[in-house]
Amino acid sequence: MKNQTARLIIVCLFGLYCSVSGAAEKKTIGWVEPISIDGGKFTFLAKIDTGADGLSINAQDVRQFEKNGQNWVSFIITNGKGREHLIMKPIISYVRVKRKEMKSERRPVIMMDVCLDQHHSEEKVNLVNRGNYKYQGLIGRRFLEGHFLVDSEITNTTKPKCKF
Amino acid sequence: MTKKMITVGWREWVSLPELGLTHIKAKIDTGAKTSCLHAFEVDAYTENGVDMVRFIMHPVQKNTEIIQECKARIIDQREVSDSGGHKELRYVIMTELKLPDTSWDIEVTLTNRDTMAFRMLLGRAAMEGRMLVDPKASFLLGTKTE
Repeated sequence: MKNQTARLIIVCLFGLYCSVSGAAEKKTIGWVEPISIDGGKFTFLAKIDTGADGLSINAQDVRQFEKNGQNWVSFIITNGKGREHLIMKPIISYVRVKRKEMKSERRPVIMMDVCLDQHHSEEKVNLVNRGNYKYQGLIGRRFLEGHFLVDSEITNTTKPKCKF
Repeated sequence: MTKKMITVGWREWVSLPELGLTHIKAKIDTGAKTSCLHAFEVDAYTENGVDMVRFIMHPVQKNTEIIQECKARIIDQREVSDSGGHKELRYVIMTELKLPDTSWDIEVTLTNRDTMAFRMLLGRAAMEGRMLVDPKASFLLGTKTE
């Protein structure tokens, strides 16, 4: 019995230690931050959106084609400063986005390695065409979870520096 | 001097006492600048020369039988874009946001777009200098208790 209590206390303390240290490791970032893709080859600004679940990027000139019996997509990302980057990826699925008083939109989903500050992971990314949107990416909770806290007062406080 | 910031999750129970809304589940949304309430039957009128707005809230998600009538002074009308990029002219009110240990006044716009899953969105302007959002957490300020 005594032994069990001791074990329980140890488990509790450990749990407390983990949750405290876990919280301390989260880095505070702004609501706009630069992210890089394609192994750090291209960097652009993304909105850090705790109201969104997933990730999306603003894709121009989206073309779907077939390659070895698989559906692929090619598109261009701009960085808002005149630089462009061409990407070609297999389509892994589609998402249907309901739109008020408009036909619902079918967006291709691809896998892409995304880097913010020192954190990177391979993520499902929706391709959207927002035209002249101010931020070329939107990063939702799935990518941020466990790594970042978001401060609504600050922007552009980090640089993507991931080790691939 | 650094202000003490409150860390909140991406969903929280908050209170808007001046509107009679004691428990409302809000999405804490750094993707939105303005806060907004999902209001029904929004109706502007004048009371002693002051521009006012009356509206109805269904404070409980997925329950349209509970109704709260609210009124507030209009401080502005503003064109706001929703997440789909649609522009809408909305009334803006100022009201007290109350959390367990603190409160401050926030601007809130009223919309009746029915695609909103949450009754309230808390945007960046209301959070600036006061809140950090932990995207992994929910209900750090406590769960609804009555």
